[in-house]
Amino acid sequence: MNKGYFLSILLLFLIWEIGYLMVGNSLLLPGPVETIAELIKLINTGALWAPLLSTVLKAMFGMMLALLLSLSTGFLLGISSFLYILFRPLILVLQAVPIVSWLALAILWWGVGFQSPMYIVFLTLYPIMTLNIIQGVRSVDVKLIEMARVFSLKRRTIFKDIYLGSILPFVFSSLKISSGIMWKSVAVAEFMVGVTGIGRKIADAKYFLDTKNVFAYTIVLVFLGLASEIIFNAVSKKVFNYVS
Amino acid sequence: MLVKAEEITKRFNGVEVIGKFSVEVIKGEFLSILGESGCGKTTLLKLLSGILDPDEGTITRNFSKQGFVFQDDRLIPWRNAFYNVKIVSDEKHAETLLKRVGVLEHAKKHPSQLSGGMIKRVCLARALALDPEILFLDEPFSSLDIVTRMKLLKMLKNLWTERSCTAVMVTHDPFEAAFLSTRVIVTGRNFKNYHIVKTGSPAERNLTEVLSLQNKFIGLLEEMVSDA
Repeated sequence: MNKGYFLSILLLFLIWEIGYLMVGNSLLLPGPVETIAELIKLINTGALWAPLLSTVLKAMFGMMLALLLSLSTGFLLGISSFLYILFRPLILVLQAVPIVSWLALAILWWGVGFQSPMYIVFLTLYPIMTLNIIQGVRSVDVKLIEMARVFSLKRRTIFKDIYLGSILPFVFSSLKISSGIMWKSVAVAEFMVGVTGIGRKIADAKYFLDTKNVFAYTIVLVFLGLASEIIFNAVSKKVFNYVS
Repeated sequence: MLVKAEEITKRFNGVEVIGKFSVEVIKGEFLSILGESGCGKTTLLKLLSGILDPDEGTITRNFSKQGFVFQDDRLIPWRNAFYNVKIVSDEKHAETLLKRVGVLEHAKKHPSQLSGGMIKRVCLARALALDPEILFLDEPFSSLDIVTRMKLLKMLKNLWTERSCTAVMVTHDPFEAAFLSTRVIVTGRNFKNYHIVKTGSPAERNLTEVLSLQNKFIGLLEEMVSDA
């Protein structure tokens, strides 16, 4: 970790501590020391792992589903302007529907449990990814397509080596954008319609007015968001290296 | 006859680029089309190879396999040199050809890691990968320094002789045309005025002859520019 990074985290904790001292009530704002202690307790007792795993799985399944579907539909809509005109409003509507509406419907459609949060992640990410992939397909270098025609390359080769290669940076940039939104939406969904997961744990802590517990679980979510962004950044850097 | 174009016309947005031009590509020849930038040479090459269709006139093509060296390379940037050649034919062929053009040790590098000269070599290997009956070259070496260009011109001449294939090259450089061709079309704008010069086999041409041919082409080009 570099010096600047360390200092900024220190500053964050300092501001937090000052706030805590000024408020003077752990119920309203727990301090960093007791929050960290709570987090360590969650880790040591093993209470963290089951909800963490549940949240990660829902988010990952939701994201995978969104990725698979947006790759196929994004590709079709990218190459056919007719389909694009036909389906663009639908995707824009999907993107504009607020998460609370999905939550209200999710409980009716999929009930409480694993599925609802997973589909919420899917519904949140799918339009973002699809629009990104459409853009990727449309930015395919027509000169490479012309080259492929001159050398009579097979359709499968054109798809795999030219289209997928061009889309890849767009896929990674959409994954990067999505990774932040993904953890937020899965937590909200668990909070409202979940039976397990970190979001659910935050809901429980709220009922028991256990604010430091809320804070401890929030730190875990923030960590997940930062970690996934770092991972996607590292992977996409490697991918971009050759494209540029 | 490998290609026969009769009275072809091509327009872009209503502007005529080629007007009622006829040409034949004879089997085994090295035909160069020499003209100033923007005279419609690249368009003619694309018409002959079938990338573009003419607005008027007919083109008959008697070949099934072609190779193409693009002015702007058009290698797939996220694939390495070997892969770029392999996708056109197969691995064994790609290896042989990359070795022949002298870049086998760089086969695992991506285009962004290769020098301009090496990229052109990879493009040549790819163009030959299908064992083409006809090879189209669009200003293949215009972006290279003089030493690299000389090396590649010699290599291209040898490859053309070895493989006894037909080649059609577009260039604005009279030296390249003089060095490589068996026949040269020296053209002015839009192929309205042009001269066809038969030059014989490039293999037997010494440097003095190449330079005198070059001067002849320069003279013809200047004449056509002053005509315009």
